[in-house]
Amino acid sequence: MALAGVPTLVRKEFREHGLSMLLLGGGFVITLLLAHAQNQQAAFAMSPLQVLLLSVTLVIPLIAFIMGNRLISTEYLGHTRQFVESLPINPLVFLIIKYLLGLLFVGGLALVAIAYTWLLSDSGDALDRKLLTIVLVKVLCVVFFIWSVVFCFSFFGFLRFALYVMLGVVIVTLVTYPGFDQREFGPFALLDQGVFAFERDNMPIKAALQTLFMGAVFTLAGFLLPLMRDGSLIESLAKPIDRSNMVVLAVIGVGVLATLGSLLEKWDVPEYSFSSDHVVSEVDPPVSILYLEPIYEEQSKQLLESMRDLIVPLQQALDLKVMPTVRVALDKGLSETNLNDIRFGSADGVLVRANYLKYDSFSMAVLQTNALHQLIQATSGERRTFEPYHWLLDGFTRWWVEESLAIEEHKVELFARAVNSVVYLEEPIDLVHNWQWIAEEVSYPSAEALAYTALVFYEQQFGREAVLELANLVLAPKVSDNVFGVISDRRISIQSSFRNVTGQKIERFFIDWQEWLLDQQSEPAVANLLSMVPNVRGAASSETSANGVHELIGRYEVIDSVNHDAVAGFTCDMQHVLISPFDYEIAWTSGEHETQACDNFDTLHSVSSYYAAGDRVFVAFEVQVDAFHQAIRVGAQRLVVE
Amino acid sequence: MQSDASGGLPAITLKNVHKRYGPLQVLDGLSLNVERGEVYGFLGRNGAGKSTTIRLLMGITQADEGVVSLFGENIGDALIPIRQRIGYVAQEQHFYPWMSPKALGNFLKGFYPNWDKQRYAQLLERFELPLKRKSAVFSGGMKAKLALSVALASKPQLLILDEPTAGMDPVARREFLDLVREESTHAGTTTFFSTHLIDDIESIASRIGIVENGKTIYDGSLQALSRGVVAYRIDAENDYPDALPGEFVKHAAQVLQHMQGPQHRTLILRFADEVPADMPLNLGWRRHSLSLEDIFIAVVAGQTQGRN
Repeated sequence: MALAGVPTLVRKEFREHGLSMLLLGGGFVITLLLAHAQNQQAAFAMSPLQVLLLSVTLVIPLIAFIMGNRLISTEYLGHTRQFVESLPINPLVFLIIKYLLGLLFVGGLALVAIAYTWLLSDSGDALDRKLLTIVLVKVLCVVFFIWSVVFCFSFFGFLRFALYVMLGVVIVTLVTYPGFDQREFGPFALLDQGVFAFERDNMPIKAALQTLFMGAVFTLAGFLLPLMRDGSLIESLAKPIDRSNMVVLAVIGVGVLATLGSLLEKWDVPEYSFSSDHVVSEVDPPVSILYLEPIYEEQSKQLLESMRDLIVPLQQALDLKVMPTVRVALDKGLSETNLNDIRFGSADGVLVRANYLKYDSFSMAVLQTNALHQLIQATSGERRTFEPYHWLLDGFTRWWVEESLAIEEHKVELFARAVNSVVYLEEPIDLVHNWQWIAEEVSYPSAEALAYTALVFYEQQFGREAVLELANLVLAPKVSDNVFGVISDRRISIQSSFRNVTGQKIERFFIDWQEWLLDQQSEPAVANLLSMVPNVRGAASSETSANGVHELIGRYEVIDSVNHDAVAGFTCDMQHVLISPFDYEIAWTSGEHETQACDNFDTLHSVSSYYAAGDRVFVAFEVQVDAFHQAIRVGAQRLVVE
Repeated sequence: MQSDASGGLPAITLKNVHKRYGPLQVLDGLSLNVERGEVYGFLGRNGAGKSTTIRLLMGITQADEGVVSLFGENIGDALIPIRQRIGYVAQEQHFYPWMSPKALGNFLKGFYPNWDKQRYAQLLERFELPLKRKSAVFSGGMKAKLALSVALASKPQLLILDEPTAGMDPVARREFLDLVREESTHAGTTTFFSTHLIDDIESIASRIGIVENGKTIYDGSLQALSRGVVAYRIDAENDYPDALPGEFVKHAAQVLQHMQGPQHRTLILRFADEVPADMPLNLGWRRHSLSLEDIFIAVVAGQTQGRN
C-alpha cells in the first residue's frame, strides 16, 4: 500500500523527462561514436579508454547537471513538490525515485560508454576481464559521486550555481596545491590520467571507498535538506533570488574572482633576464645571449647580430606589436647530435640552450629557426603549434632563415631530405591534417624540410608577398586566452586563408608541390645526396626470451643494396620511449638510445627487461649519414610489449 | 466510499498541539474537534497558525507536542491511508504545468483507490474546464476549481480547504462554495474550511473555530458566537466614567473591545450564554448590531487585549 503511487510517479517522471533523457542519451551516444571515430581517423589513434575517461570527466557531469536541473531544481523552484507532498505517498519515496532515476540514467550512460570501449579495444589495450572490472569500479564510483553532488546541489535553488563555482574553485585549488597529492585521493585518484588505462593489477579500493563515502555524504545531505525545518529551508532556497541573495552572490563572486585573479597572477610568470656579467643583449628587438666565459664573447656577439638581423625584419613583416625576449644560453655540454635544446613552454619568452661554439652554418640555421618558431609561438598565444598550422610555422621560420642566409648547400640538403621523405612515406602528403603523423614517421627535421620545400614552391607559384600575406593571416594574429578567442581563431581555417591569398585550394597545391618535389630528384646535387641515403627499413618487435625476459628487438630490412662507394659507413640508432595511450606528440626527453655502427644493416638492437607486458613503446630507427647534419629516420612504430 | 472502521470518532482531533519554527511559536496548545459530516470553518488572521494546522492535518509536518488524529488515527501512524481519505485544496495550486486536466486525472487515479473517473469528468464539465488544455494557461480561479474537482473525484471522507477562494472573482467563488455545500449536504463529507474571509464561513459553516497566536480562542457554533457577543453603545453627552450598560455585565461578561469615540463609547462584550434582547439597560445605553466580521475582529482583539 505504501508503494501504491510509485509506478504512477515513475510514469510521470518518464513522461515529463523521457524525451530529454532520450535526447541526452542519444547525444551522448553520438558524441561517443564521433569521438571514437575521430580518434580512429586521427594520425595516432589513442586508446579507447581515453575517450571513456573524457566522457566520464566532461560529458557525464554535464548530463548529470542537466538531469539534476530537470528532475529536482525545476520541481522545487516551480513548487510542484508541494502538490506531490500532499498526495498519499511518502515524500521520501518521491525523492528516492528521483535519485534513482538520475543515478540509473547517468550510470547507464557510463555503462554504455564502457561497453563500447570494450568492443573497440584491441590487443593493444588488453582490456581483459580484470582491467574491465577495475575500469568499471572506477567509472561507477565516480558516476555515483558526480550524481550525488548534483543531487545535493540541485536542492539549493538558484544558489546551486554559486555552489558549482565554489566546487570548481575548490577542485582547482586542490589540484594546484602542491601539498595535496590528488593522485592519492578519491575521485582524483580514480580518474588519474596517468594510471586510468594502465593500472591493471591493483583494484583502487582505498580511492573507491573514499569516493563512495564522499558520494554517500552528498547523497545523505541531499535527502536531509528537504526534511530540515519541515521543508521550509528548501522552500526558502527555492524562492527567486532577492536583493539580499544578490548581495551574497556578488560577494561570493567577487571573492572567487579575487582568488582566481590572485592565482592567475601567480601563474603569470614574469620574463626574467640573464643576470650574469657575461651577457650580450639588444633591447629592440629583445635578444640576450649568455656565454659565461669571456673568451666566447666574440662568437656570442656574432650570434646576437645574426639573431637581430633575422628578428627585426620579421617583426616588420608580420607587424608584431609585442616581442618576447629571445634568450640563448651557451651550453657546452650539448653533444654534436643535439646542439641546441629549446624550451617549448614560452610563457616567459624564448629560451634556448645551445652549443653554438661548434656550429656550422646549417646548425646555426637550425638554432635560428627554433628561436623564431618559439617567438611566433609566444606572440600568437601558444596556438600555432596546433596541427593545422604547425607545418606553416615550421616551414615559414625555416624559409625565413634560409632566405636570409642564402646558402645553396643548405637548400640542397633540405631538398634531399624532403624528397627522401616523400619517397619513404609512399603516399600523398597532407601537411594540414597529418603533420604529427608525418613528424613521427620521418622525424621533425624531415617534416620541417618538407614544409620548407612547400614554402619554396609556394613562393615560386605565388610570389614572396604571398608568403608574407599567408604568414600574416595565419601566424601573426595573437589568439586570446579565453574560450571566445579560441573559438574565433578556430572559425577561420588555414584552408580558407590559403584560398583567399592564392585563389587555389590547398589540396591542389599539395599535389602540385609533391610532383614538383619529386622532380627535384633529377637535380645533380640533390641526387648525389640521395644516393648516400641507405634504402632500409627498421622494424621493432616485442619478444620473450627462453628464460622469460621481455625483449625489444630492432632489425633492419635492406630494400636496395647499400652504395658503399658513396659512403664509408653508418651509425644506427634505435630510440625507444615509454608512451601512454594519450601521447599524441612524442616527448623524447625521457627516451633511450641504442646506438651501433651498422655498415651492412645486419645489426640487431636488443633491449632486455626494460619494459613490461602491456607497456606501450614508441620505437624509432635513425641512420646517421655523414653527408646530412641530422639523422635520417628509417622506421617508426608504436608497439605494445607482449 | 472507503469502509470506515473508526466508527463515530471525530473526523479531526487536535489536542494541545504545539509547533515551533526556530524561535517562533506558531501553535501554542491548539485544540479542536471536528465531527463527522460537519462543515467546520477555521478562522484566523494571517499568521495565526491556520496553514501550519493544515500542514499538520495533512501530515506534511509533525507536531512538537500534542495529539493530531484523523478518523481516530494518529496521522503519523497511517499517513498514506489517511491521505487517501482526504481531499485537499491548497491556497495556491501547484499542478504540473504541462499536465492537462485529463492527464492530471490519469496521474492522480494511481494514488486514490476510490478515484471516480465519471465524477471527475462531471465536475470538469460543470466548471467548464477544458479537458486537454495544459494547466499552465489556467487562471487562478480555474486552478482552484480544478483542485476542487480533483479533491472531490477521490471521494473523500474529509475535505480540507486552505483559503481556496482567496483571489477568486465573485462568480467563481459562488460556484466553488455551492459545490462545497452540495458535497457536504449530499455526500455527508466532513469539511475543514480554513479562511480569513468571514462571508465564506457564514454561508456554509455549521461550526467554527477561531485561532489566534496558535491557540483556539473559540470553538463552537456560529449562532452561539453571534448570540453571545453583544455590543452596547452610549452617546458622549449621557456617558460618565465607569458607566456600564447594566449590572448583568459585572457577573458574566468579558470585555472584548472598549472603543471611545468623540460622539459615543462602545463596549463589545462576550457572554457565556445568550443575552436576551430585552435585557434592561441603564439610562442612555442601547444595544448595537454586529456583523459576523465585527464579531470576529472583536473576539480576536479581545484575545490580544487579554494577552497584553
